Formats: sequence, structure tokens, C-alpha cells
Amino acid sequence: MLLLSFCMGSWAQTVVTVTGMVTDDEGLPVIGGNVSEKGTENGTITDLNGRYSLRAASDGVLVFSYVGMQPVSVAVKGRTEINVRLASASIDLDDVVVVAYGTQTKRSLTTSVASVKSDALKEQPVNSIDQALQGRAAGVYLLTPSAGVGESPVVRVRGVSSITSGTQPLYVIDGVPVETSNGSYAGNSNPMADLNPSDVLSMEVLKDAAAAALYGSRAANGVILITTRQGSKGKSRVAYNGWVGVSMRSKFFDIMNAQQYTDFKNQAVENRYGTAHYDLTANRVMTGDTKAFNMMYRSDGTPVDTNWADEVFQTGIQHHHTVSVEGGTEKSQFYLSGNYTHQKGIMKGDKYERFVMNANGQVQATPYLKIGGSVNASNSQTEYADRARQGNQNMIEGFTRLALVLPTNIPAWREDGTPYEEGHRIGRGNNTYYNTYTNPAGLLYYRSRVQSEILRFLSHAYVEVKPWKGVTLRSQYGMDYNHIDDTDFRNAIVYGDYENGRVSNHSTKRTLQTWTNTANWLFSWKGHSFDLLLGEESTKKHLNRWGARRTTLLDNAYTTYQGAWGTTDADGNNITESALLSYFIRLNYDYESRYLLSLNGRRDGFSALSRQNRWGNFGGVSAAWRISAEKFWEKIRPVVSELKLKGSWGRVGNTDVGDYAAWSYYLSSYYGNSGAYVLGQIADDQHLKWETSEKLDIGFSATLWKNIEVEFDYYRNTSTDLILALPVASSLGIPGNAITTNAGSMRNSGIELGLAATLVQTKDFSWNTSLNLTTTRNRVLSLADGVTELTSGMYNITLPGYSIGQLYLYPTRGIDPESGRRIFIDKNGREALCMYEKGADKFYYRDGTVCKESNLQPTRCGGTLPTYYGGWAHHLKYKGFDLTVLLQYAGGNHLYNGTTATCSDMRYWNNTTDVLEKYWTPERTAAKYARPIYGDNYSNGSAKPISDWVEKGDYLRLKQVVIGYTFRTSGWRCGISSLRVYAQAQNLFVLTGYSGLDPEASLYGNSTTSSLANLQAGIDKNTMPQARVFTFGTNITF
Amino acid sequence: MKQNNILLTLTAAVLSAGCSGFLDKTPFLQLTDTSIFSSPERIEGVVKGVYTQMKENTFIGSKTYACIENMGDDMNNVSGNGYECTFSYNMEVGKETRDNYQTWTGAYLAIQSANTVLENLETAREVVGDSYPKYVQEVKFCRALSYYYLTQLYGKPYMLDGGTSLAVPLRLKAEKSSANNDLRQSTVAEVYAQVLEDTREYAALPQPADADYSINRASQAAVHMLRMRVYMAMEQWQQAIEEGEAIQGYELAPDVTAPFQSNPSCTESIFSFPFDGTNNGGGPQYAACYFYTTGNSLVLDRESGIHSPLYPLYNLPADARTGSLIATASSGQDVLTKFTDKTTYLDWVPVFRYAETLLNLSECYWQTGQEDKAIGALEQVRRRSLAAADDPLDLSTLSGDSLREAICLERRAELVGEAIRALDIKRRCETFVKKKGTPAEFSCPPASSGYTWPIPTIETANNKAIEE
Repeated sequence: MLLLSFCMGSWAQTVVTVTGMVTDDEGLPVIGGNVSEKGTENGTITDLNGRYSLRAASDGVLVFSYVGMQPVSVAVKGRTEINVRLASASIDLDDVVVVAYGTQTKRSLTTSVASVKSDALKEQPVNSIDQALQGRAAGVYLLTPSAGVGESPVVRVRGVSSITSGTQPLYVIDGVPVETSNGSYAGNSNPMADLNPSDVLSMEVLKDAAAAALYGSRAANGVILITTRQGSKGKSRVAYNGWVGVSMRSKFFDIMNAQQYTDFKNQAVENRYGTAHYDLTANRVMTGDTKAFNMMYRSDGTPVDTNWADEVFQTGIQHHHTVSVEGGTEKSQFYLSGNYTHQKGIMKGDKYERFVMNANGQVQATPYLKIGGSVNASNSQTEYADRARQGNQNMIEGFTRLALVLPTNIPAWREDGTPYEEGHRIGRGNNTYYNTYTNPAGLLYYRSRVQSEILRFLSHAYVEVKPWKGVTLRSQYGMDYNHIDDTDFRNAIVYGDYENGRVSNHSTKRTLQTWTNTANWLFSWKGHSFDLLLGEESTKKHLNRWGARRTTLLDNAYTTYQGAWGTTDADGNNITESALLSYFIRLNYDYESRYLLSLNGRRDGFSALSRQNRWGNFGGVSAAWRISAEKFWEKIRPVVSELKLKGSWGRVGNTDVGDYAAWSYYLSSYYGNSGAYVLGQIADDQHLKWETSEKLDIGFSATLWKNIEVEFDYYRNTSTDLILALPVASSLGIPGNAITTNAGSMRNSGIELGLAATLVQTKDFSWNTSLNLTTTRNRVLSLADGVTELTSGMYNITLPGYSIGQLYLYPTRGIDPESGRRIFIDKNGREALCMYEKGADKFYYRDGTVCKESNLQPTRCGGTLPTYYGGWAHHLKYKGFDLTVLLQYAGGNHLYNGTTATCSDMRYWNNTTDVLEKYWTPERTAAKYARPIYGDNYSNGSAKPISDWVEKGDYLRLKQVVIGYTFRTSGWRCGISSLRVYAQAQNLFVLTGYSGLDPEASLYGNSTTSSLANLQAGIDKNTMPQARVFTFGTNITF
Repeated sequence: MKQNNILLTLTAAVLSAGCSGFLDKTPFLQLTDTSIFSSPERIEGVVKGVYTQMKENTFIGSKTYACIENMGDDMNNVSGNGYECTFSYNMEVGKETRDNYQTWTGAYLAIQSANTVLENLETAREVVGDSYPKYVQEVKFCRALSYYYLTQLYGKPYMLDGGTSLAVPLRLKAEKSSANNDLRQSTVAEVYAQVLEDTREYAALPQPADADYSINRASQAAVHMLRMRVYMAMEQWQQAIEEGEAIQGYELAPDVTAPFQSNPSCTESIFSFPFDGTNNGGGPQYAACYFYTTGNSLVLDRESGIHSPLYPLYNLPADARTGSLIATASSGQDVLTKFTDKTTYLDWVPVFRYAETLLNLSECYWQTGQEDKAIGALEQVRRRSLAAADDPLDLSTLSGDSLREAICLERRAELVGEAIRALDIKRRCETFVKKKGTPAEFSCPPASSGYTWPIPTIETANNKAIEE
């Protein structure tokens, strides 16, 4: 059960005598009820009048419980009188809710739900609450693609349950499903960041079908319920919490300096052309001292030696402030908060700024009528100059790549203080080859950027009527309104003369309206409790976007759309909508809190599917046996004080497909200056139907020696009729080379184990620890008829019998010690050496015959999904001090370290000093890199990704360390009732065998096409480093 | 009672939300087959859409054009950038090379569009009325042109083996599902036969004098040009001559730059892809123009190409082509100014123009022993740019091999940059020699794997009938 009234921070450790009365639903005294101080042996029982008296710590928490009633925890907060009303062990709608459609008590939970409390979340220096989940909850895997602002984490609940549809869980905030896809046209921003993490009270992850089935067609990827803070009865309270922090890149590569670059590239030129005195543009041998690459000198004679990493990386600064006010009476409660967050990222040009106002309240107008609602209004700006994200890590403006490959013998800045460029690009310097990369210093100087301003209203209102005893009717209307304005600007001076500069603005309005109507009936008969829920829900989604693009910047002083430009054209206009209509039912049965059964069903109709198949039926059943409540258990109870066996089975669906997925259509286009129609999509319009997942869960929860909590689950999730963008022969000429159809199946199975224990508990010192472990075995069972594999991008393949997104690379076998050539393995297992300089035929068998390129074929090189992951947390308290340590781990996966390919490319790109130390020479035959041949982009894996760069992705990360001190405020007169200060460090170290920057890397985040994060997983290529963050913060309550 | 009123309101609300039609969401902007083919205006639009697919999608109006020019030996790729056709330039296009799969995808999108329109036109005959034969011939021309270019890239030269080697799968039906994934390649001869069949009827297509004539759409002359190229590839010189001589109503523009000025009324232009402000923002490589204008991508090969000192007779200062069509870019590289729009790359892309007709004829006449006619056609082209008084080359003295060489070199000088040189090398089954005479020289003989492009993996992964 959640805390009824949440304690902001802690009170000083003084002991007070608390008295009060415990009553039931009807206001009658509860006789013989338990009152205990949480975490202690301290306790008493209520007398014949329901009254009690207990000496307890003023910052303690009292737990009130009685057989057949729902226990309630109340923070003392220094009060001496606490009166509590206990609800019968079924429902109290006034309470904070934790399950689908808000009507289930924890005791009757028969399903698998992971709960994360705000204590664990609130001090993490994250902009969005989803980022705080890593390592906290069993069954929830989270990957942060990079430290770029606005990047959404990849969140997977119990593996990947779809191949090409979305795999992101459904987020429900206070009962209202919200939009979680990136709505920005040009940039990327994380929609979950529109919620202030400080406003979040708890997150519940519904993992199995029975828990999630009430969300029917949207539950296949799990459901994350977010409960925000609400006002509570009692004294009004004002709280401030805030932190400031610095962040820096956790690691970077050592790049060759100017002299090393010049010498090494000349060596490569000599290896290819027989002399380093070679003009790479004119292709002729030069006379004189000039070589292919030459040092450059400033006017004072000092050599140019640019540290490009310094031009793109910086020390980030971030701060976050939240002020909240809450209070209420018996009849009405309110909560108000305001937040300001500002972040300067570790990449130059990365900025994030946010204001959030959140207000909610509820009024018990009459004994049978309750009205409430909330508004969360946020305004944020996400801005970045480094466009290397969402699969664009290869673009010539990608900062990380630029820091790796730019020649160190060309300056970033001219002596007059302007960015260096030759013909809009980096150019030649004193080298003989024109370098087409972009100068990042120039991009920043001229304000090249992508900027998204988001205005978001998350709001809902509800009315709740209790016409008869046990019956609650509720109607709730939720509106998620999202207005996103994007600006994408490029100046002509450094980006190249492409269009002489270019800017685009896009304005996107998205609305998601959800109207939910439920009827709930509670009744009991001779120890049999029933809880029946009937509901109806209609959801409407609408997107409207218009935009325009301007080119030919007439005055370089302008950096916005509104400046002086030559041309203006419409761009990116779109209108789409979809609708979902649902009916659902749930029956919970409970016999003496021993035998628990839950049945639920939902019927969903979705407009995006074919007319014939748009309705789908979903549902689940779950049961639990609280075996420890049985009489025969009494002897075991000293050891196993609580044991619940549970099992569930259900069927859920996935709706994350395009709004017009079942339509074949044409789009309007142009031919010259006249209108034309072109094929837009060819779909399986007659048959497209629901993708369904069957989820099975068996497990138990137990408490051992009243101290160790154990949760164990075995799960199996089988997805069938997967909505697959089925690749077709390209010569069919079907747009996108794919038809969206139902085909294929996939299974995820594994175990989840959660352990929590209090290791030490004395008056001054306590030590709690919790550990979670999840294993996932993902198997694609089948694809469509006749389809044996699905290749995606340059590096991955998905095929039956293996986990999704296997690495698919050209097999290689290191460097041949004799010749210094990379050894490729052809499809028959024969070794072929790569001799780049030979021209069109560059692969040769050992007998000197040509190995045709078609004989080289990629092969499966390992799975990219982690097979195990979890976290291990420690909370230590000594008097006013506390210490939290969170370790987080994952592994069992493989990564393609494509950055190594970038860093050893023998074109004019710079290389790492690792190459300098490990390239092949006649003396150093045990080499990692081939004999440098100028221009060679095959031996290193650029042209054909090679298996030599596959590494294991296992890691253990010290995710978070927090040291805090809570002051004794009891004697203070300034009105401060609680004060805590803390210092926090994130990502202090990673233990891993991975040689790249960080094993937690992905080309794709959740923001664009969520499925690419699965299908093209395990690729670390020019990925931005992760951040290491240090913050200092305080929580003050008045 | 108050409670009951609220209850009633709620019940009514619940029921009203479930009304029918709530789930019927018709797209606002997307049109179905039915709505397209029921309106003459929209059918006109969807026919133009077939050209759009050829022009864009990285096919012949954009990147493929640049790829073909990159394969030739008169221009040099200095980009060092795989996105800018270095693989084509280096004759090392593989199964996963972007040049390859983009061309393939773009070509077959155009072909599928043509097939879809052809099928739907049958049911919409009444709607289109008199335009029916014109539309059919127009769309078939587009399909034929797409197959012609595919064969040039993916097929071996016809003269190598009489067209018996495999080229590309011949898709002639509208496809709506993956059912027909598997289809073996047809031979070069079979594809050429289909191209000739598709262009057999052209009477409904306009001629220059007609009101609906446009150099941006199929015309009788465009059909003849395509057929002429195919007959030349098959060494059927007489048929080629007949096609060439059937082209009437065109003339060389006095100004050598005129065919490159996006001018719809240029009488030298036979077929060009139009670009307009509507194409703005398609990305830097959406139009062929991009590659020519930056000075950092496709530049003149001043060491070995036709505009190098190796060919003094084709670099005469008095030659209008040297003076008007070559400039030095800010990068210091010499570029062709047949394309000039450095800002938005909206220059039209010429596919067929009358100068090529004449040079084709000249070659065919030579092949058939009609040297006088060959010289006559050659003279027209050369004298447009270079007066006889300024020309050390006396065309009338040429014959035999010297005449053949003059015709070939004149083609290079006249048509450089127009995605023709590489097609000529392949047609004649010659070896590509790049950067000739420099230490970086490399060659690609017909037997080499880089000579023809392999069918890309995006095809072979799902079309199991492909023979590799």
C-alpha cells in the first residue's frame, strides 16, 4: 500500500506519544486493531473504543491494520493525534490507486506488478521519470542510447514482444493513457519529460497479462502506471527540492595528434603509391618536399594541432527546482507545484529548459458525489547542434564522429577568430586532399541547430458517484494536448553551399482524448468478497502538422525562420487520426484473503485495422493462494511468515501501428511544377488484424524470518499474428519494400527474482538492501510463410530460432601475420585476403585467385538482446546520515563496435593512437589493424562490417551513489519542519570487457521508430559517450 | 432524485460514445485506387506520377544519373564520400552499396507505378476517353525507359554474348502482395525485346507541333531515341538509323548552352526531367544537378578525361563547349556548367537531345559504311561549337578508323556529364580505364565483377529465383 500522506524528507528523531482512534468504513470503532511503528517491534492494539496510545518516533510511520481491512500507513510528522479510518479489505476509492482502472488492493493482487516509490526516484538527476527506472524493477530493462538531450531511453518490459510494431510500454498517468512517441518533426524530445519527476509519487509496472489485460490492445508491451502526488488531509505543507550538478563525458578515445596523423597518413600513402610525395587530388607524384599530408603552421610558427574533442564536448551543468504546496480538509484536497529545470549537456550546443506547473484537487461535494481533476502544463525547449542521433550517427555533422575523424593538422579556428573552412567544409589545410567533413566549431558558431519547443497539457477531470452502498460510478475525461514547434537551421558558411543555408519550421498539434466510464460494485457474502468492474472507454487521436522550409539565407546574421531568406516552400504537412473503442469487465473474488481469483476481459475496436478484423477480444485470469494464511502453516510461520503462490494467464494486443496501416493509397506529389499522384503505400487492407500476446506467469512471494522478502516469477510471453512490415522483393516496386501484414510469432521467457532484506536494524544504524535479477530468452518462432529472414540496416538480421536483431556481419579472422592483410572468410569457409589497392577485385584467396565479392556473405554473429539484467541497491542510515548505492548490470548480449571501424579507416580520416600502436608492420605481425593502405575502407570494416569487431556487452555499473544528511529541525523556529542535503554521483564507473566508450549504446532510442531499437540493436557506431553526473541537492519542507 | 439524474446522464454519455462510425477514419490526404481512377484530372496526375518516380527516388533524374556519369572516364569523383557515388566511380558497386539498392528500388517503383496505372486504365477507359491510347503509350514508354537503364547497369553488354546473359526480372503486372516475390531475371535480349514491344506503338504521342507536346513527357521523338539506343546496343545499325531518321522537327540550338537552361521550348531538347521549386528540400542528392555543381563531388578529369591534355583537339580555346560549359569552382576544381544551380539544384536533367541523335546517326552510318553521311552528322555537331577556320581537324579527310575515333571522341566532348559515356563503354564491350596515365590508374575489364552491378541484397533476400 502506498503511503497515505507522503512524507517529504524526514523529521528529527524525537519520540512523541501518539494517540487517536481507529474506525471502520461506517465510522464505528475498530476493536483490537493493530497499531505498530513501521520498521520496529514497537506496537499496540486498539481498545474497546477503538482508541490507542503509542510512543513513536516523530518521524516514524504508523501502520494500522485489522483482519479483513486494508492496512494503512501514516507518517507521524511530529503529530500527537492521528485518527484513521480503515477500509474493508476490498476497496477504498479515496486511496491512491495502483492498478488498472484503480480498483484493486494490494492484498488481492494475484498478478505481477513491480512498484517503484518516489524515495528511490526523486534524487536522480534525470529530466524524465522513465529514466529513473533503470535497475530499480525486476523485469524492466532500460537502455539510455547516449547522453544527448531529449534522447528517450529504450524501455522494455520482459523482453521484446513485437518485431516491427512498437515495443514501448503504455504509460498511464493518474488513470489517463498518454502519448509517448516523439512528436517532434525535426528533432527528438522525450514526451515523458513533460512530467516533472518530483511530482511523481510512484510507478507501477504491470508486467503480466492479468495485470495489464484491462488495457487490452495496448498492453502487450507492459503498462507503466504513474501516480502523481495528491493533496492530503491535514496541515498544509510547502516543500522545496532542488539540485545543481555538473556532468562530463565518462570516456573518450585517444586520437592521433597532428604530427602522428600527418606521418601515419603519409605512411599509408607510401604503402599504396610507393611514395608519400603524392598529390591525392591530381593523382600524380610530386617533386620537392611536399607530401600527401603536411603539417600546417600558424603565423607565429607554431604547428596546428587541433583537439577536436575540445571543440565538441563540454562540462555540462544542470539544475532543477521544484516548489510544491499541498493541503486539504476532510472534504477537499489540493496539490500545486512548479518546476524549473535547466540543462546544458556534455555536447556543445545541447540544451534543455523546462517549466512545469502542476495542479490537482478533489472535492467530496456530497457523501455520494466526488469531483476532481488535474492539469499539468509544461513548456520545454530542447536544442542541440549535434544531429547524430536516431540512426544518423554517420552524418557528416555528427559531433562524435567529427571528434574522431577530423584531421588534427587543420585548425578549428582561423587566427581572426572565425571558424576555419575552405569552400564551406574542412578542406585541405596543407594536405593534398579536400576533406568534405564539416567543422563543428563552425556549426556551433553559426547556430546550426535543431530546436523543439513543446507546450503540453496533461489534464483530466472526473466525477464519481456512489448511488448505493458498494457501487461506484465514475466518468473520467482525459486530454493530452501537445503542441510542438520545431526549428531546424543550417547556415551556409560551414555546412556547405547546399541550398545556401536552410531553415524549416514545423508546428505539430497532437491530441489524445480518452473518455473512460466505469461502474464498480463491491459486495461480500459470508467471507466471499466480490469486486465487479464494468467499463467503457473511447480514445481519439489526432495529429495536425504544417510546416515550411526556407532556403538561400540572404544575410548570415539571421539564425531563425523569420530572417531574410530567398525561397519558401511548404514542407512536412500532415493530418492523421485514429480511434479506439473498448468495453471491459473485471471480477475479483477473494475468500478470507486466502483464495484470490481475478477474471478480466476487454473488447477493443481500432480504426487503423481492416474493417473486417478491427475488433479483438482480450482478457486474463489470475489466481493466488495465500498459503501462509492457512491453519497448517502455523508451524512454519516463524520461518516463512508470508507465502503467496500465484499464477496468471492472459491475452493482450498491440496497437502501435500507423494510423492508416490497413489502407493502400496514393499521395500527392509533383512532376515539375504540376501536381502528380504517386504510390504511397500498399497494405494488406483486407486482413490486417490485431497482434496478440499470450502471457503466462507463475510465481510466489514470500517473507522469510519476517525480514527477507522474496518475489519470484517465471514468465512466458508468446506473441502471434505479429504485425510485420514484411519485406518483399524490391522489384515488386512496393513503396518501402514492405507490406504491413500479420505474420510471425515470437516468444520471451525467463525468470524474475527480487530479494529485499534489512541486514541491520538498530536505533542509530540501519542497512537495507534489495537485489533484482531478470533473465530473458527471446526467440523469434516464425516469420511469414516463405520468409526465412529479415535483414535490417547494414548490421542485423532477424530469423526464426534466434533472438530478434542478431548481428549479421562479414566473417573475418584477424590480420594475416605474413601479409598484414585482413582475412575474410568466404561462404565456403575459404580465407581471402583484402587487398584494397588492387581495385575492383580486391579479395584474393591464398592461392592468388580472385575471390568474387559475391562469395563474401555476412553471417550471424551473436544476439544483441541482454539475456540477464538487474540492479542491486543498498540504503544505509546512521543517525542523520544516509547512503544509497545502486549498482546496475546487464549482459549476455553482443555489440558491434563500429566505432573501431571509424577509428581505423584508411581514408583521410584521423585514427586513434590504438591504431598507431597496433597496426601491422613487418616487425609487428601480431596486429589488430591491417597494413595501412591509403584509401582502404574494407580492411577496417567501413565498407563491409566485419565480425572482428564483435564484442561482449556484459557490464556492471555503479549507477548511483547518494550521501545525504537530514537535520534535526525540532528546535528550529524558522518554520522548517524538515531539511535534508545530499550529494549524488551517477555513473561513477563501469566494469566491462567492452573496449568502446560504453556497452550501453544504441543507434536508436525510442523516439522515432521504436522497432529499430530492436531490429538494429547492438550497434555502437560513432555513438556519443555516456555522461558522468555529480549533483548537490536539498529537500526542505515548511 | 438527484443521484438518479446523474446516473442517467452518465448512462446516456456512455451509450452515445459507442455510436457507429466512430472507428471509420478515412485518410484526409491519402487517396485510394477508386478515388484516383474515377476522375480524368486525377488520372492525368497519376500518369505524371510515373515520371515523378523515374525522376526522383534516386533513379534516372537524380542519383542514378550521377552514378552512370561516375562510371565513365571523363569526370573524376573527388568527394571521398560513399553517399556521392564513390563506389560507382571506383567500379566497386556491391550488393549492399547504396548506389545499387537505391537505383534498384527507384527503378522498380517507377515500373510498378507504370504497371499499376496500365492496369487501372483498363477499368477507367470510359473516364479517360480519347486520352486512353496516349496514356497507355506514355506509361509504357516510362516502363521501357526504366528497363533500358536497368539493363545498362545490371546486364552484360549485348555484343558479348548476343544478349543471352541474365539482366533483371521483368515485372509487367501491378503487384499488391508478396505472392510474386520469386521471379528469375530475363536475359538482356528479352528485356530489350520488351522495351521494343512497349515502344512499338507511339502514334498517339505528340510531336513538337502538337498542343500537348512537352519535352518533359513522352513524345514520338523520345520513343525513337530510346529505340535507337536499344538497336545500337544490339548492333542493329540499320534499324537504329531508321529510328534516328524518323526524328523530325528538332535542330541544334545555335547556343551550345541552350539545352541546359531548363527551357521547355528548346528545339534541341527531346526529353528532359523537369525540376522546380516543388522539389526544394528533397535533400542534397535528390537531383543529379547536385553532384556537378559543388566542385567537391563530380569534377572534370583534367588529367585523363576528354578535357585533359591527352585530347588536344577537344580542348581548343575556340570551342564553345570549352568556353561556355566549363568553369572553375570555388574548390579550385574544374566543373561542367551544364548544370548550374548551386543553390537549389533545380536544373532540368537532359536525357535525350538532338545532338545525341546526330552523333548516334553518325556512328550508325559509319557502321553501315555510309561515311559521307557519318561525317555530315558529325560535322553538324562539331561545327556548332567550333568554326572550321578554328579547327585543326579537317573532318572531310577522315575515314575508316580515324573517322570512327573522331565520332567516339566527339561524343565524349559533346555529351560529357550527360550519363552517356559509361553506357557507350559498356555497349561497345570496352574496358573502363580510369585516371589513365596517372599512378592511380585502374581499369575494369568486362570480365571483372565491377563491370556489371550485382542484383542487390534487398532483392535476393526475398526473391529466391534470382540467379547469381
